[in-house]
Amino acid sequence: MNILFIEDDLIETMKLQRTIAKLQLKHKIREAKNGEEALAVLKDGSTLPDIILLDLNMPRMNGLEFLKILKEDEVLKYLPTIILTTSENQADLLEAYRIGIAGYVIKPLKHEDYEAKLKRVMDYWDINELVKP
Amino acid sequence: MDNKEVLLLKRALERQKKARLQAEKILEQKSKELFDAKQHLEHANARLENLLNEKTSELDGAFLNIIDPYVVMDLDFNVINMNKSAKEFLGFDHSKETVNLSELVHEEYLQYTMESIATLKEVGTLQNYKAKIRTKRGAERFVQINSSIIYNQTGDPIAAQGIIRDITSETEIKQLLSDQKKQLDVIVDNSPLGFVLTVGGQIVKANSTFCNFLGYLELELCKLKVSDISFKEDLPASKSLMEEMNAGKTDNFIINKRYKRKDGSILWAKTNVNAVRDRNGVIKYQLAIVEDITVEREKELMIEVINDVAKAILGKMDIHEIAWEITKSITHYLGSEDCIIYLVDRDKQFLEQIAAYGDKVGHQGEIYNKIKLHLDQGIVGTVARTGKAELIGDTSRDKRYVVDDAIRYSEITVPIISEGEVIGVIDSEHPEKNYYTKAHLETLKNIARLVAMQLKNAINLRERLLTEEENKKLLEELQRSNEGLKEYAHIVSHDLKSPLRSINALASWLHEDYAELLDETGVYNLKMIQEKTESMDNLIKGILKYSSIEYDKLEYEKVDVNDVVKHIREIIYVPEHVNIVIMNPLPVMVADDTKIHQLFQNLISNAVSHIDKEEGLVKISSEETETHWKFQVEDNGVGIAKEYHEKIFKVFQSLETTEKSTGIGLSIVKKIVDLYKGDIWLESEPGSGTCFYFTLIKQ
Repeated sequence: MNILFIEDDLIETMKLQRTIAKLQLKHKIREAKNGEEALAVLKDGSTLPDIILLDLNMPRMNGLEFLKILKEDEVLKYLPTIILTTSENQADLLEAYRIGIAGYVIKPLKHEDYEAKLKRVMDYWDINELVKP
Repeated sequence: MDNKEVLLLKRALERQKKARLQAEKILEQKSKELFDAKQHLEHANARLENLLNEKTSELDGAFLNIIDPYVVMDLDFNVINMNKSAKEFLGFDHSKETVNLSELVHEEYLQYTMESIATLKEVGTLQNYKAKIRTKRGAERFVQINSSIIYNQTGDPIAAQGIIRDITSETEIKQLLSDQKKQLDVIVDNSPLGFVLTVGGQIVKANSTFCNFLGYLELELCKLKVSDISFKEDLPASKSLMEEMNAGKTDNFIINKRYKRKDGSILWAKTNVNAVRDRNGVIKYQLAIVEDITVEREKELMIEVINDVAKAILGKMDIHEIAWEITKSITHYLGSEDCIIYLVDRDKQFLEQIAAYGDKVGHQGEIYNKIKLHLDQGIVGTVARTGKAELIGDTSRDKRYVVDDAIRYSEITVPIISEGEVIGVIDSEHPEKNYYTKAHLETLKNIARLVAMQLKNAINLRERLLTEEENKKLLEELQRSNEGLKEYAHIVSHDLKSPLRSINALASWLHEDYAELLDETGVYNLKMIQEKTESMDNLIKGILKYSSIEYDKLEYEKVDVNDVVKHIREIIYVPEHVNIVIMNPLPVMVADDTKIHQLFQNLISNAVSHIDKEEGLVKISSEETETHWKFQVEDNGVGIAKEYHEKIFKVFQSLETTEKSTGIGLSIVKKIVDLYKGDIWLESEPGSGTCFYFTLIKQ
């Protein structure tokens, strides 16, 4: 799968890359440091990702703001977007679902738990039929 | 002249002589006849005269035989003749004794009698002589005598004859009647009730009481119709009743109506109208008995308006609404065109117009040109200061009078007093001088007393609402800052949690990548780093939970506490040697499921984790009080020393420093118990166990 990973935290990016490598998954990760950068990636004409992993708390354009713009786009709105966050805030959860998401995954504290969760997410989306816009 | 002619003339002459002789003879004969007739008439006349005299004597005889007493007397009152009836009546017989009739006349009537006799002599007859006499037997009788003079043949008066009628009883009845009439007149004239006789609406008689009622003389009243002294508005009601009476359906009706006094003022009266009919049932006249009920009516009106006000303001808590109802009722009652209620503002020392009725008020009930009076300004101000009601008949002579929208000459001003303090003033004005009465004043005072408490309550309510409004604003601000805080807590926790995750990941990578290169201590320290991140993560979660317990977010649903405990038994870690036992069926209560879970989970896991015995036992039980559910969570763990019993409920107060204990659990418990208006306390024996008690209100 082509995965667009939107995350400002360097360690988080390392965590994902390392987990994908450790699990020997063949997914291609495209990184973006915030919403603005992600939109630029999506509009640069290159192949669109299959899924988006989106962090909520980011500088400049945060996750929910990015999500809104994405869902207003006639083409991009079909991209399954999974929130990957430490926020257990009920308000964030509700708002994300209201705008439209494909999943909401809370980053666990323990790294091994993180690896386990990420594996399940990848496996799940790997077997899904996806719209190729 | 020829012989023939002479002959003819001689013959004619001869005929004429003969005719004259013949005529003379007839004339002579007629004169004789006339003479004879005259002679005859004279005879007849004489005979007739005798006959007449005889007849008169016969007539006299008849008189003697008539039933009524008959007396003939000479002109000096000496009796000449009397019939049997007269003898019986007068008690003497003229043939046996000489009686002079004048001696029988009562001395009071002597003068009158002499005058009467003189008249009789002059005129020849006397009708209807009435006098009191004393009969020979000594009885006093009233007599009526019709008499005439008897003349002799030459036409001189020689005697008088009379028929006596005993009218004693008749006179007595008349006297009685007259006496009774006088008595009746006294009664009628001195009655507190007015009596009026009318014929077809025209007044024909009225007693003095009625005249006094209206200030008319009887003479003046008798020129008026009932409609002249009535009010137009009352006419339809009396008209229909009158029609019923005219139709013969009733003989009597009672109506409460107003009468117009001569001076234009009103008399309220209860009028009882009675029909007096003739034999054929046609109404001859109406008798109206009129009772002045002005005082009663005023009382009635007073009660009516007080009732009206009481009803109108019942349950109303808005000052303006209450005041408006009062002004409306009062204006109606006073027949006035203006009524204003002022409210005293003690802080600012002025009077504010809060409700008005009349010209001062618009369609929406808003008051035009609201004026504000300082306490002490105007009549209203004085009343507000002194607390004494005022009745002013002529405001133009009162220096205090303040012109509002128009000059009016009468003013009535009454304070509304609550707990000894003037809280408002009722004020009404009228363009006529001396319009308001003492009854009006009494009524307004009563109304003021009646509304005082409710108005005071309404004022308090208004103040409370103002305070509440401020409180609401404060609360909203608080809520906003609370929201901000919560948001802040989330942001901070996120900002704290992210680095924790990074640290944890880095430590685990170190371990993964360099475990072989590290010694035992190095590996242990890496593990410690991870454990510390865990306890810090728990702390952050706890703070978040604690800050999100809010009263207004509570759900109300049925919560079976048995299920809650069973569920907790499944989700928390319970070592093999510890038993969690429900001692009695726990209640099903109406509460927020999540909060009850949090509450029990914190207490149970606390209990479980503090067990140091080989056989651990956590006992959960409950009992019901009138208002609350009382729960008990008891363990046989380490126990808590007395000095910590208060402290443990405070945030971040933990008695130990393991990664599992954040010091927030019991604070959350306390906060939830507080939400359900309950208490929490504990009994503990260090070494042998702890028992937590808490109560939750029944919904």
